[in-house]
Amino acid sequence: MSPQNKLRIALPSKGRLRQDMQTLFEEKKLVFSNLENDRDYIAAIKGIDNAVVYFLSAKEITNRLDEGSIHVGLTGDDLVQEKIINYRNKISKKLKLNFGNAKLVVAIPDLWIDVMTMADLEEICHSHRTKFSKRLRVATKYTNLTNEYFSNCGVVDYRTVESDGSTESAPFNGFAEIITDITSSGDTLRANNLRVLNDGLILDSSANIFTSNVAEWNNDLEKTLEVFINQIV
Amino acid sequence: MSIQELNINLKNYFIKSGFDYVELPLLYDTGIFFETSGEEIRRKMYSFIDNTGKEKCLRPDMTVPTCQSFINSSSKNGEAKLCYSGPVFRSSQENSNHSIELNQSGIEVIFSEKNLNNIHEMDVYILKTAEETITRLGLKKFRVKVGSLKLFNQFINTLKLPDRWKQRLVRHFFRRNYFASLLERLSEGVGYDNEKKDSILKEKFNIDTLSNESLKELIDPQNVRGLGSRTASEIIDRFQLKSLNVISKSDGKKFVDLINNFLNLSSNLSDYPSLLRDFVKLNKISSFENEILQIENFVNLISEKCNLENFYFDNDFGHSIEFYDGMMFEIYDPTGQHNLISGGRYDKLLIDLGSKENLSAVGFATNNNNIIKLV
Repeated sequence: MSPQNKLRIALPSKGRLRQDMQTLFEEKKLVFSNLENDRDYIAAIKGIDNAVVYFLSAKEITNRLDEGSIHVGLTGDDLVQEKIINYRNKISKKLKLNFGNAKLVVAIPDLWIDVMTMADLEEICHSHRTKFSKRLRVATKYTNLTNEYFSNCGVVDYRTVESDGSTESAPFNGFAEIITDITSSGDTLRANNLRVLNDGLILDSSANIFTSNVAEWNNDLEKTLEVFINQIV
Repeated sequence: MSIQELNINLKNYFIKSGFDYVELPLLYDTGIFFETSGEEIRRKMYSFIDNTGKEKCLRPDMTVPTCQSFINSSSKNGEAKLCYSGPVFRSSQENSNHSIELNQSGIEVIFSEKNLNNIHEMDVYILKTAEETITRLGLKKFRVKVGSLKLFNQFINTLKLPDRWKQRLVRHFFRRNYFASLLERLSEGVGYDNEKKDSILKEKFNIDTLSNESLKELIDPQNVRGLGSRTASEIIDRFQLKSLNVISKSDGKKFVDLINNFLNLSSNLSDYPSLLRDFVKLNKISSFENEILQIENFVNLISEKCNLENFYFDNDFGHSIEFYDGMMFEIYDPTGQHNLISGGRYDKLLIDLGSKENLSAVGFATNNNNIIKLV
């Protein structure tokens, strides 16, 4: 059977996510075959003949789920909700995994002692714009999630500044006043004199097994998916 | 009649009634809608980046472009009666069958309030024209729902709430969900009481109480790194203001009940002034007599010009469009399912778009996709 007719599964190729995935798979006795070394990008799973595994970055997995060129992918809620427009219709969450935990939060300079909540932020953003005809800036890698959350909280007088790394330094460097970023312990934020707002949790994200609703499915593939999922649960 | 014929029919009717037709482009810079129309419109906008890197969009609305074209036109003499007709474009993620091309025909009157004999003159003129537009198409039965953000604003101003909270409630009136969450917060009590204030100071600076000056000394040295673009005094002023603006939980709840009771007022327009009067009396709201007289004046003028029976007033009625700031209305078919016309007063929009003069504006747009189903 050619890979085109198999269940196409994408798993993380690097970093912490790959390590945690491997630990889980070893625990569940899921063994990759045809895998010469860690740098190989394609493999099979012993005992599940009708499946092919691709190792990709989490970002790439998200993109492939979005366009439907893979059936199954392991990636985070944060990437899915940020990158896939209309994700509720396009993909389904099959299994929540207990790793890859990360919180996307809104953080402000700790010295803003008058700002504790998103409502405070709304007010200072509004008065800043009214007084100076300028919008306060929010540095983030997560523009879409940030815009949606801010808009739900009534915060509209701001603009986002795209930041692809060390977002937490933006307030000090003068590139932005506010940030939204992924944090697990909050240590990096504290070290940079930033503070998470009381109601500043945008998303509590974890790694998940997702399936693509836009990929082509048939009965055989669905059965294979069931076998694969049952082995991980 | 096809929808294109309806667009032309209404355009010709408005021109015949003395409105100048404005030919509007389909494509705009996203900025003007972004600045004026609120998230609801923004979310539904069809936008894209063109090959010079500029963000463009298909017009999601024609009121903002009409006002912008008025401000840019060289031949203006301060006042204008304008009309437009054609498609606007809005996407709907929830309902993909929903038409993305909505056809509207509309009028906008730009005027100076000081030239009016009666301050409701133009609002009622627009309501009358809307009514005539509908009846002329053969739709004899319809309901006109009226509300007023100005009245809500006046009511909020009678409450002994901190100014910050008054402004906040008015600013977010049109954001349904967020407005509800604001009321929920208010009912829990707000502001920093002394205990909260002290605990924040203790936690941040390990000190008990503090004067403004010494607080400034503590914050200022760190100013360069870590205040964003805000100043120490700005932060301290607002910190102190919050501790002056304490509303207890029981007071907060009383305010919220009163606001909700006000928003629940709705009746036929003819009964509305006495309903409002009773509410004001029952809740001992002081200095609201002028506002009630204004509403009576408004109702009297409508009864002179329009068919009063078709009208009802609803305090909880607010558009999801940011720029309306006074009277607002919608006309429905008798089943209430089809919106036929929406409109209202928007005095701030022209200034926001850069007008040097202090001009008022009121207008409406027909919903031709719905009207065509009924004519």
